[in-house]
Amino acid sequence: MANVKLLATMPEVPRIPPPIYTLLRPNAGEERLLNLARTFGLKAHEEAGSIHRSASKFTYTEANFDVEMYRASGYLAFKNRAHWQVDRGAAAELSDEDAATRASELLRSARLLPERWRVQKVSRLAVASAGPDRAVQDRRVIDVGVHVQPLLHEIPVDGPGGRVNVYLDHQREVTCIEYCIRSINAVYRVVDALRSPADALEEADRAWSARRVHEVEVREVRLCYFELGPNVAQIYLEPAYMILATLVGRDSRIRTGDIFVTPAAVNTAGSLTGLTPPRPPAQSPRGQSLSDAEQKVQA
Amino acid sequence: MSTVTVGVEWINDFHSDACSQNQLVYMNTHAEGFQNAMVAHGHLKVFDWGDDNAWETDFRNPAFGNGGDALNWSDNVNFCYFADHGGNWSDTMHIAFSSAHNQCLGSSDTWKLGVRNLKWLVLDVCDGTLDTTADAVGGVWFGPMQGIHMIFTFVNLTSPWSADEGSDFGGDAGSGQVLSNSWLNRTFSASISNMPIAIAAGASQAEAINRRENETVNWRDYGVTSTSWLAWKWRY
Repeated sequence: MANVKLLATMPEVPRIPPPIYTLLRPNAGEERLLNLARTFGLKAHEEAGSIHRSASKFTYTEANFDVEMYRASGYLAFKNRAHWQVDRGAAAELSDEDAATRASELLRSARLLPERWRVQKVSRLAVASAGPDRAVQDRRVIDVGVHVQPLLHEIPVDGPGGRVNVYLDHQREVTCIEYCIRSINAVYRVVDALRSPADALEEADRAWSARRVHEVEVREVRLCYFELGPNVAQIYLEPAYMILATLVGRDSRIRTGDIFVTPAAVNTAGSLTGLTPPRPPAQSPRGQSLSDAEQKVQA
Repeated sequence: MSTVTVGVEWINDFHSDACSQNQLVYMNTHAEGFQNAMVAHGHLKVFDWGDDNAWETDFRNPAFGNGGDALNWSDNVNFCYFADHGGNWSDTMHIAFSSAHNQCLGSSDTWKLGVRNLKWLVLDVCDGTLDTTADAVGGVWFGPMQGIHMIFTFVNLTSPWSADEGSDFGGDAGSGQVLSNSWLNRTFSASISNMPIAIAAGASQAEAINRRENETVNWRDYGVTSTSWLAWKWRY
């Protein structure tokens, strides 16, 4: 087994296990895209803008504004391309509290604030430069991001999806909103019981050992509802343990972050298996012919 | 739209030998996802080397001896994406290889990035810089950036989080979106609190900042005549 150092406290497990939900099939279509664009004050018709269609999303563009909708998840984004992440020479000096208040007001007025929510993080986009003297110049924060998580049964939704992101510029104006929350349909399954966090950690340890991981520092163990990213279709939303770790190599100077996710329910819906893609087939060795390599693989 | 050439290298699997490191996940999906997305926008795939086929000599400039072959590989494409382990010590970036061809670790003090064709390098690894100070960024990157326009990497540790990060960035980059902003948006995660960074070079401060704020793949032929200035942008 890997040498595991537990630097985290284990999450509390609720007395009544939270259920597993089914998710609504995303309503991702051009009509909804245009309706959404109107709610952001755009004219949203063929003469005013244009729609670009790709395999993963629709994008409506009008002047400097993009409104995006992802096909697989229904995720939405409203972006002011002229201002979002753009250095306009000013400093965004908002406190975390001011930014969170402003973002929640904006989301509430746009009817995009989850019923129960919390701020997971307030991020900042910063710039700097340096010349031949290696002295830093013009180091500033140019936008503030507020990252809001929904709460279900007081358990946060987490993962590559499961949040609303609001970005504010130096004038406290919104430059982008990303709504990355799938809609819940109904309870799919009552959960008999939740596994213990220690059980999840043991499973993680087995997975790390299979990867020949030498040493692990477990930084955080979270209980959450796990939501996938925008490009993935998801049917169920279920409780999961998320283990955030640092993998330390035999040369301790080479370290990497690692995230292990496993279902928390003993009667899982199975929606979290196979998240990690299978190992790719081995490439033909460089400098050898394909037939040699194929023979080697077959052997 | 300018057409750019793309090469990728990635490592998931290491062996129990002198080059041993912890196994990784997602590295092939990140690198190949990037390349496939670029190709879908009309750009050109040149090479895709994974696991033992990814070699340290592909990044070593021949001036540093020991088989350095960068001019035929990493520096023979416009956009190179490298996904793997990284480490940073003594003001030198290191990347790990699973086979010693010719070293287990590549070192940024043997790189001359951009002396031939390379314009943009993604180091989808940990520890691209250890901090965002001028000493931390400049100490590592002033030397190896010799004509390359921009480097996209992470401050300190990051965690491979999903299979889509490379393809998302490739889709944006390949369609002509601003490279720095796309990298930061596609790779930052509030959930894991990682810190992506984009570093641009220029002969002047104005040029470096202009690249940082506006450069797209259409700037392929707007060369960096000297790396006198660096301008960087990061989310934390």
